[in-house]
Amino acid sequence: MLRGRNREGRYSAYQRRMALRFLAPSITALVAVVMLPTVLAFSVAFHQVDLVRTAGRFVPLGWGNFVTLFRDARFANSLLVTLRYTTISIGVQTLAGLSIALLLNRTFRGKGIVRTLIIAPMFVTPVVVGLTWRMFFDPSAGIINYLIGQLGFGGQPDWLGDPGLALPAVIVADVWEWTPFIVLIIMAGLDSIPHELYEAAVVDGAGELQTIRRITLPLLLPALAIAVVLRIVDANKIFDVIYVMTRGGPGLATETTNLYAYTTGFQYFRIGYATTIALVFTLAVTTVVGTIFGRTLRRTARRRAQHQE
Amino acid sequence: MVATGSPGRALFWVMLIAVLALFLFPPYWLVLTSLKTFRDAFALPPKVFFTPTLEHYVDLFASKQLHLYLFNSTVIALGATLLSLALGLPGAYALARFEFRGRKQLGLFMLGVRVAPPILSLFPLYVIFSRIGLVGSRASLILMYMVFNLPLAIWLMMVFFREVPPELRESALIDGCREFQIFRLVVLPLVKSGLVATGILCVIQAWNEYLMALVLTKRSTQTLPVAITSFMTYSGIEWGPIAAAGVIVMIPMVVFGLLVQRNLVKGLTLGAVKG
Repeated sequence: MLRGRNREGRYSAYQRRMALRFLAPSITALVAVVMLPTVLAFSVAFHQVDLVRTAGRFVPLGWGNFVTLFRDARFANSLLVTLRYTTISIGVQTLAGLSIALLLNRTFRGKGIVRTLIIAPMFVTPVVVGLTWRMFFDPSAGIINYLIGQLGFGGQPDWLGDPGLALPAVIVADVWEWTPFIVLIIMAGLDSIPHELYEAAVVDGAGELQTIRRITLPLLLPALAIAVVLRIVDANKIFDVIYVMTRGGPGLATETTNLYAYTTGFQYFRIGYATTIALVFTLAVTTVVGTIFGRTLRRTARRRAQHQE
Repeated sequence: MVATGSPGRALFWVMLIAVLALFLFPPYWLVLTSLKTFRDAFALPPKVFFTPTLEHYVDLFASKQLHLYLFNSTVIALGATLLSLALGLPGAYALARFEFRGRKQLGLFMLGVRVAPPILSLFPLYVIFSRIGLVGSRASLILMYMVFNLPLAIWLMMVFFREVPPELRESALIDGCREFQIFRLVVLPLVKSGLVATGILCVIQAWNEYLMALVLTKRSTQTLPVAITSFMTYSGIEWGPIAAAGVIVMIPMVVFGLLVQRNLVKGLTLGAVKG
């Protein structure tokens, strides 16, 4: 019998041993640099670790950090900013991305080049994205206020200095950078829809809008769901673009939870409390994303099962 | 779908050009700004025609030591990527080829690493690194990027390894090859293009990363993104040099990204959507 082939339903010891050998380096690295620190984070959160006041020593604090956290208005504000930022930004990206992908869903000359050019923003270094938009939003020398003036609207808003305008301005930068991601994934999803379905729709006399609503959108749902989940995951990690554009300001208008945790840890040197912020936030995000993802997976599976019947 | 020459066709081209302009204008404007003299950069109305100057680029290397940061970024991104691949390739091969209990769970665990924000492990690691004197070293960043890119490397390479026919391994086993020999000599050469795409995506992520680099570097080990933001603070904002530095940081990654775009959908969705 051939080495490594397993009998029905039972995994062979040989394959398991080999897999373990091949996987050992990556598992070790992940455990050492991600798992251990995460476990350690639970411990740090229950201590006062202050690089200035306690010189980095661990002073046990019990639930102290958590009690402080739940009374901390700045933490509550940061959650609200993060929530606003992610929902508005991802909402706009999804709508814009879907529209652009549907616009491009036809044969035309230069489609390949357009597809290539449109995804360029995703690779622009986020710090540079932030800088460029900061330059655009500059109240006196920026091109945005110049265009507003040319169009005849009065007022030269100080975009990044106005608490009401700073968050929308930061969202604009994010939408610019990540709408192409949605476009890219939806276009891949569109390519995988069989042509016969469209041909059948034409034969049945369906209009263009009807075809989109009845065929394209439902079949696109799995790709769209994956794109949105990945965006939610990444948007919650946002740091660089906002840090470069506003540093969380003016006031706390654009301070997301990540920025607040960073400031607490590396500017006020309260590592213990900063870890508590990051920990509670991570648990919350993981729960929410896990629930959404699990539900989408189940729904997709059910739909597939229905199709096969 | 729409006949050539119809008003629908014209409308389509207008919308297409508008969309392209929106996405391409910011980098285009950044490049223009980097080539303008201080006075041209802030002329209103903005100057589209002007005498270009390379003074900002020269200045970056002459007085701002950009070559140092360029060196740091290159060493760190390449080092981390090579290590990620060295660790991740055998792992991805095992997940794609061998049958064992817990395979799915292991894959999901690796996805979990992508979901967790790096800032959570960054605090404890900072405490550890500062005790053993690693803060401020290039090695600390190489280590971080190596591990944080592992899930990407593993998930993406899994997709490519699955495309290699399993019969190859079986016949090589009959010929008396050892598993690792098969992996290295038979399978790896077959996934070369996937390997390049994975490597490029890892380089892009490491090169573009900001938060960990901001925390874990000192003046002499700064990467490009950190260096640029430090130009911002100490003498007000000089857009010329900053735009030039931005162009230098951005261009290689945009070129790399466009090179691997065929494998991109796979990479960005970790194989969940076919490209």
